[in-house]
This record gives sequence, structure tokens and C-alpha cells, in this order.
Amino acid sequence: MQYMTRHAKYARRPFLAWAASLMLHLSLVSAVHAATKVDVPVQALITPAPCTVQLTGLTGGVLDLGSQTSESLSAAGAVVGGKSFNVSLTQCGGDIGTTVPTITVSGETVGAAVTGGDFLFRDTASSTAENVGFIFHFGGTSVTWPDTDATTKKNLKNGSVINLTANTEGAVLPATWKTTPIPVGVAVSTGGSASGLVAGDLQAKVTFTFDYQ
Amino acid sequence: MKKATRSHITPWWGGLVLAGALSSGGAQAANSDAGTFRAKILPGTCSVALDSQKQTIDLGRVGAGSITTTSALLTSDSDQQYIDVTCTGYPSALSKPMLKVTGTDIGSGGNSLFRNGGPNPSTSLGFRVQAVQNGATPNWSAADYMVNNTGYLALPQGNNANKAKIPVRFSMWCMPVSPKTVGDCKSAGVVSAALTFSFDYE
Repeated sequence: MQYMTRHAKYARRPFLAWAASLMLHLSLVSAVHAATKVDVPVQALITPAPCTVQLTGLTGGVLDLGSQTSESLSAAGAVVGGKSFNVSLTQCGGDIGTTVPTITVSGETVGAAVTGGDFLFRDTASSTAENVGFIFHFGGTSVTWPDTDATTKKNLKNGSVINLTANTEGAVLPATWKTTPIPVGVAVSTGGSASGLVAGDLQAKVTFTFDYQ
Repeated sequence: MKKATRSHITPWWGGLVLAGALSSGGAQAANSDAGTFRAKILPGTCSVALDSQKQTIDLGRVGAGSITTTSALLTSDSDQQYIDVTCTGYPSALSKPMLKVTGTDIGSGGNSLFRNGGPNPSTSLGFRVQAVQNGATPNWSAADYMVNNTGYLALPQGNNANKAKIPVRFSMWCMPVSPKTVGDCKSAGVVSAALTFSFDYE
């Protein structure tokens, strides 16, 4: 009866987690009757202070690669209008312990319609140009296609996960990730296709997300 | 009994509050920034050439007695002419492949009549140009006449015009402007016009 009174008292408390933890509460109280003491293991993961991600070298969040002639994009693997920007990670805190700093890249790509289209970033809704996109090289200011050289193979695609170990695309977070902005090269490319280009406006929104894993 | 129960509940509450704080802190650790990347891919450029590679299209002769204002006096029908188009690059989906002809226009009322040379004194004699779309069989009686410095849609919008072969027709006309009459076209002598064709994605 005393327990029922206590439960009713707690239920009136404006605390959202109360109902969810009621069962745990009951089991703890039951343990009091079963033994004079109980061991309750408690653990928690303390994550480092979060990094602030900032893309620098853009104007108002935009990097304009200008006007490019379609003639310059007539061949497979054409790359034009190269520029670069930086991914800056700041306010990352101190010791990261065993957590793994990770950057995830996301954005819409051309897809399978073009050879290597997974690496060509292009927003369908805001682009009239077709079969062409932006390619990105993480950790360098220039970008090439095809990126088959094992030593330079660092092009990004949607869903690329970059950490301190080289990923399948070869991109890796440099050891100085906390202190030095990371350069990223970007350019316009036709990827592996030589035909089907349609001239027009090309736009892509690419997001770099930092997290500890 | 009541005290013992409370001693278990208190750390549980504390743990709950701590867990909430840790959960909140973990969510804040993720951070992101997005960049928008833009570029404009320009349509290709095209060059044109007369398929016959002739320097001059000679329409022949017409007798003064046959001069009329109701039909062409001479045409290039016996020597069909084509404009060959060579393009580099690609059009946009909105690109209009346009053929354009320019020259000295002595016409009126929106009808271009090209003439800029020759000893013939008439100011009513000149040449008109027609074109049909690439690949079409010419029906010159139904084809529009080209207007000076005005584009003619030589292929459907968005089509790549590279290697297009556009049929064109040249014809000589007597088009007197009031108060002149057909008589103004009956003077003897050569009449000529220098015409320039161009092609572009507009």
C-alpha cells in the first residue's frame, strides 16, 4: 500500500521519463525485499565537446565555378572550372578518447545514368544541365577524373564517410584535423561519359557533417 | 523500510537526470555545414558553310518580258542548296538552333529583299531566301521567307545541330514599293546580293 502511495505521488510529477521508467523502479523496489543489497551497473559514454563545422572559401555559402563552355566538356573525364574551399573544424574540445572523429558527406548525385555518376553531385530540382556534375577531392585543392591513382584517389560521393583511416574512396581525415582547415577541390566534370551532355545551369548542395563514432 | 527504499530511489533519479544530460550532449556533438556549388554550362557554338562550296549562286537569266510581281522570277531549284552546320559542344534543353541570314535589305513591310550590287538600276529587284528544317523535304511553296537578321528555327528546340544539313532556296523577285510598279524591274543588267548566314543556339 505504501508503494502504491509512492507510485501515485511520482505519477503526479511533471516528469516525462517517469512513466517509461516505472517498470525499472518496481524491479528495484522488489530487490529490496529479496536482498539487503543490490549491485546496479551504470555506464555512460562521455563524448568529446562537439566540433563546429564551417565551410570556408565560399561566399554566402555559395561557391560559383562560373561559366564553362560545353566544348570543354565534350570528352569523357573532362574536368573544368576547378576551385577549392576548406572544411574547418573548430571548438572540438580536448581528449577524444576512443571515439572516432568522422565526417559524412551527403548530397544528390547524377547516379547510374552516367558512368561514375555516384561521384557527380547535381541537384535535379535546381539544375537544367544534364549528365554533368561537381566532383570533389577531399584533402587537396585540385581534382581529377578518373580518380584511379591509388595515391590520389580521394574523390567524394554521397554517403562518403571520412575518418582517420582511408575509406574505400581513399579519403582520410588528416592528423591535423583539429587545427588545420582541410582543403577540398571541386570542379565540373562529365565523369566517365562522353555524350549526352545538356548545357544549362548546374547546382549542387553538399553537406559535410561531423560526428564522433 | 521507508528510508531503505528512498536510498535506492535517490541514485536512480540522479542517474536518470545524468543520462538525460549525456544524451543531450551527444546530440549536440554532431555538427554540419552545407555549401552550394554553381556553374553554368554554355551551349556550344556552330559554324556554317554552303554545302556546294560555291562562291556564287548564279540563278541565271530572265527576259524583261517575263517580269512579274506575283511569283519568283528565278530560283535555285535546279541546283538545290544546303547549309552545312558544324557545332562543337552541346545545346541546352531550351536552346533553339537558329539559322540567320543578313544582308542589305531593300524590302518593305517586313518582307526582306536582299540586293546590294550589280549595274541594274532597279531598286525593286532583289533576292529572297527560304529555308526548311533539317531533314525535311522542301516544299518551297509553303516555306516561309527568311527575314533579315532574324533567326529561323532550323531544328527542334534542344536538338544538337552538329552535322545538320539545312535546305535553302534563293529566288529573285520584283517587289516594287508604291508608287513604283513592275516597270521598275525591267531594266537590263546584273543584280547581286551578298548574303551572310550564321547559326547559333539561342
